[in-house]
Amino acid sequence: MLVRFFVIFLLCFALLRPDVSAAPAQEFVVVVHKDRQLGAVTAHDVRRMFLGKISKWPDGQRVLPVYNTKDGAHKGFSRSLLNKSAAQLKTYWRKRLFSGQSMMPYMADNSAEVVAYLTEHPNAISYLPLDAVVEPLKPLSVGK
Amino acid sequence: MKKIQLFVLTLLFLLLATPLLAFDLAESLQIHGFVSQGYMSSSNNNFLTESRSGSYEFTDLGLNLNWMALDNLRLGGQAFYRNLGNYSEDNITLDWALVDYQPSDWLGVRLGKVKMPLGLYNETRDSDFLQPMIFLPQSIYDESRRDTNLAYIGGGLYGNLPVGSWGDIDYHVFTGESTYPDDSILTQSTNNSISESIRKNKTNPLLPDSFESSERKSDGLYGGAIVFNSAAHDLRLGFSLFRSKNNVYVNGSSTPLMENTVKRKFVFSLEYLWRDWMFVSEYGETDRKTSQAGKVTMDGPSQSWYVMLSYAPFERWTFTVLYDEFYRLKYDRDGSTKPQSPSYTAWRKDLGGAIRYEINDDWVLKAEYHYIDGSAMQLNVVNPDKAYPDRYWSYFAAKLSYSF
Repeated sequence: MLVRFFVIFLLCFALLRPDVSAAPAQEFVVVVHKDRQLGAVTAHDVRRMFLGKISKWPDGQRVLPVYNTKDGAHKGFSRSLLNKSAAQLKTYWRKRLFSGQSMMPYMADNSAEVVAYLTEHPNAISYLPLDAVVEPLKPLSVGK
Repeated sequence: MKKIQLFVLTLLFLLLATPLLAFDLAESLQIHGFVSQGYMSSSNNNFLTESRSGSYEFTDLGLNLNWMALDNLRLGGQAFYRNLGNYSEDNITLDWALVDYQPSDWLGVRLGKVKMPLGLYNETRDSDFLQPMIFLPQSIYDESRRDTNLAYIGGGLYGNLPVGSWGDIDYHVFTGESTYPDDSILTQSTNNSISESIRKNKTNPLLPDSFESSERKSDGLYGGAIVFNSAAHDLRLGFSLFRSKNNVYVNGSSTPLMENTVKRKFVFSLEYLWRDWMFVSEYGETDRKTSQAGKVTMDGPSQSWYVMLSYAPFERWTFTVLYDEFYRLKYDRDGSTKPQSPSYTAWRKDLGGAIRYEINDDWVLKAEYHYIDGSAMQLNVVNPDKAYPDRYWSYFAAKLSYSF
């Protein structure tokens, strides 16, 4: 019996090719709409915003975190700011969704979509590669 | 056959519907769901279903709807279907359904049928495709008691509190009632116990002459959970606790024949994520008292703990090992207070290994193997052909899941 299960495990390995990505993570900046006035924001505050634990801006508007999941900057953002791999981050949100704790945040397909969404929603927050930040967005200064 | 047809039709519907519906029907309305089909096979003992002969009766299906009615007000619910052999609700049930009002980050209110916070994973136990293994560690997340501990019907307060540079704390306190479906393993076990007592009874006038039906009613449930989330590392430390009482009424009587009190059920939890590694350990005890027809049949705490280590060396692959122990009575680990039964009915020690492969963002394939010493935790119910289940046994499970 044990041998049979071991063979099945090996077959799973052989048949399903792992998706190995060796591409280095791109640098990123956290961005908000240029009209959003903010004082000092710590990395921990930003982390809690992206994890749905801070839901209001100081002016009372709802925080809308926007994930730029298909951009090269996503892995670096997830790892360095949220302390999670991209897979762990996806699991985090799906657990909240399927257990009834929250809705899913907006998942953009690319940086252009992030810019469009934040232009239309000044209460949103996202992240972009350094060279993708354009008007009306501005980088958010994140302290330790 | 009917179940398989239902599953295939549902799967086809989901596959066809996904590209047609955007599922973010508006920014305030979302529809999501999942479907899983598994296979389970075991040696020596059945586990949860007739697994010794191999079983495909291992299907889960969920569909949820969330509507952000106002900035602070959310309404949502999830329909759930499970087929797990003879000991599951082979129909569609409401997994959770709630009104969630959150005026601030530190205080929110949930009313309705709400997932119960117990350990780190009870609230997500129906979405096994999100866990490293198909089955959560059974000592803490006993699948035979899933229906009882899954959710409360009542109200709860929750929130998130920052604690300076240390991190933040999630809390959730609640009060309400539990649910007890008629076809659960727990109900079957209770009915077997009552029937056996009636059959052997000679002198106890509190026992009826025959057994026709039973009904278990909740008589109070309250509890809470706190989880500390570290700012510096992806570390979570949790503590959860609940107390509950329920009575079992037999043959339509208005006087309970059984009284069950969970004096204290608690779980300490630790989860640490470091790069591609995840380490989890939880320790719990359930101090309960059960009396049947005026006689105490169980009084004392059970003991549960496990350690689990997962490693994801590639983006889509996760490998997990688990060691999990359960003792029916903390102060009688070798079963000496129940000499009429084999000693190994007092414990369950589980060594398991699992592989999880994310085929793409929507599909997940998992396989796992467990080798087990001991037959505690209702194993006799699914092995009615044996006087006592075997001491050493094993099971293999594989599951393919799709979620959107």
